[in-house]
Amino acid sequence: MLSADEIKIVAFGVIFGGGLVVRAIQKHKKLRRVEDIPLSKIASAPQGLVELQGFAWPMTQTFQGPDQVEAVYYSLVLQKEETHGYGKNRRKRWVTVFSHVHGVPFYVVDPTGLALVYPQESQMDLDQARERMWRSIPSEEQARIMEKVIHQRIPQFPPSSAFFGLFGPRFRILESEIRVGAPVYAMGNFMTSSSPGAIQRVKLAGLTDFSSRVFDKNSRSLRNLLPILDKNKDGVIDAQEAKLGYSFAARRSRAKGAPDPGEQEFQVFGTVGSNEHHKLLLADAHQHHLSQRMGRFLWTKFAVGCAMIAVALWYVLSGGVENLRRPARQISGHQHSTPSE
Amino acid sequence: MNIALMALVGVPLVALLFVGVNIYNGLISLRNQLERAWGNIDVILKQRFDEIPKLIQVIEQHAGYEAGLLKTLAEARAHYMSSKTRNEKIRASQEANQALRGLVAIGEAYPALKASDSFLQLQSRVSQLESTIADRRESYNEMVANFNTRIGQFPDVLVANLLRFERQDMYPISVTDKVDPSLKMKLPKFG
Repeated sequence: MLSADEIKIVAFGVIFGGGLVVRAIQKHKKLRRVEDIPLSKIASAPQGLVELQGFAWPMTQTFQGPDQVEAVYYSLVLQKEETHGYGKNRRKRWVTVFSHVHGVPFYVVDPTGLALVYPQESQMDLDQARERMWRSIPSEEQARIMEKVIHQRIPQFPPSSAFFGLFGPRFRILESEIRVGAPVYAMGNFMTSSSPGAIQRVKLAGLTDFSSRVFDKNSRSLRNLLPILDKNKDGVIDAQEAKLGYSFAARRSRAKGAPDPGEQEFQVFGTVGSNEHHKLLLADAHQHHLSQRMGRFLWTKFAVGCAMIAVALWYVLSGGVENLRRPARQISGHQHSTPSE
Repeated sequence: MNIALMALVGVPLVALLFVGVNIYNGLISLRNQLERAWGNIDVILKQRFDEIPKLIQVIEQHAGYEAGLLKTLAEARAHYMSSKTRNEKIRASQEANQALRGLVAIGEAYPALKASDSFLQLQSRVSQLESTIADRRESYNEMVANFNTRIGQFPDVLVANLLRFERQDMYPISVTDKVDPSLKMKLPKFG
């Protein structure tokens, strides 16, 4: 018979291990969908479920985050550290006390044209959110966050900075963003604007300059910018280098401000959104980087989850620690004793 | 203890069964995506071939009956419409590619044709369709490469062999497509 503690350990093993296995299988299915659906160019994308990749460009206003960089999508979560329980059962955890999302529609730009996406109705797959403790953020940036993002009163926030804030509650912020010009991947339902009257052409500030820097119009593909973007000179542009490099190029292109007379027109070929069968998936990386990110530790999680379930079940079925400690001969001696003895 | 060992072995086996089901579903989905990718090209090829009778009509109006070119276009269209398999449709499309490239030369030889709005609109439409076909061919070939790789790799190869999946052919560019069309064709003198 298992003790109460042993039952808790077994239950933890089964539940946590089962969770890891289920999570790994779900992630694997999603990864396979991303890899199986072929990438389409925006100008020739068929109606229905498509994969597009390009760069984010604002349709209307952008959001300027606390770090002063323009973003088409920005999310901030403010969390407070809370303590629960007493003595040996005392635990600390982070609780969300405020969240803000700036998610207006924006364009995905590729060498052939533009497509409009709606991030509010999408499933976002962004790189690990930037996590910072509140008291480590410079005071100017704290003031910008308070002014631009957190417009409501939150109890005990901002925390007092007396005695370096050591005795006040601890807060942290988690930020995710898609910067202007950053790589974007979209998988969703593509709807073209089929009637001639509905064809939309737009002039967007800085897009002509950005397109000429990034795209090779003759081959309808990306220019080889490896020497420029590969900062660590390892011969490969990783996701972070792509994000920083292309968004820097976008900032340079948009530095002039409003569209100038030399700005070209770009055609908007359609919209990418969700339907009853597929929810729009938006990611802040191109497909190959997204695949790498999604496949990270996938099989490790699966194997660890299986191992935890197997060990927990074996533990239960073998009768727990007591039976493991008791020698086999002692158990069989009791079984073979007769009533007369 | 035997039951415990069975649990230790059984759980990974059940997990592997789930993985096997996942692989099977993935391969079926991949094959359907491949069919869809081909369907998306087929739609545009058909649209292009539907423009051919209009082109023939316009060319005949302004340039008279150009036996060689028009015959090739008409034959390519007929081949395509009667094609059953993917490879037959690809061959018919490649025949049409060669003939359609001759349109440039026809336009140069007959100024009246070149000035015709109908001819210019049709030429622009065909050119747009060619770009779409090229883009979708790229996507299709990417899918074929993905499919062929997946059914050859372990552990998917085990399930693919059970389902008797076969390697697929890409949509190639023909040798004639790689050669620039000669603008000097043997054409009757105008006037």
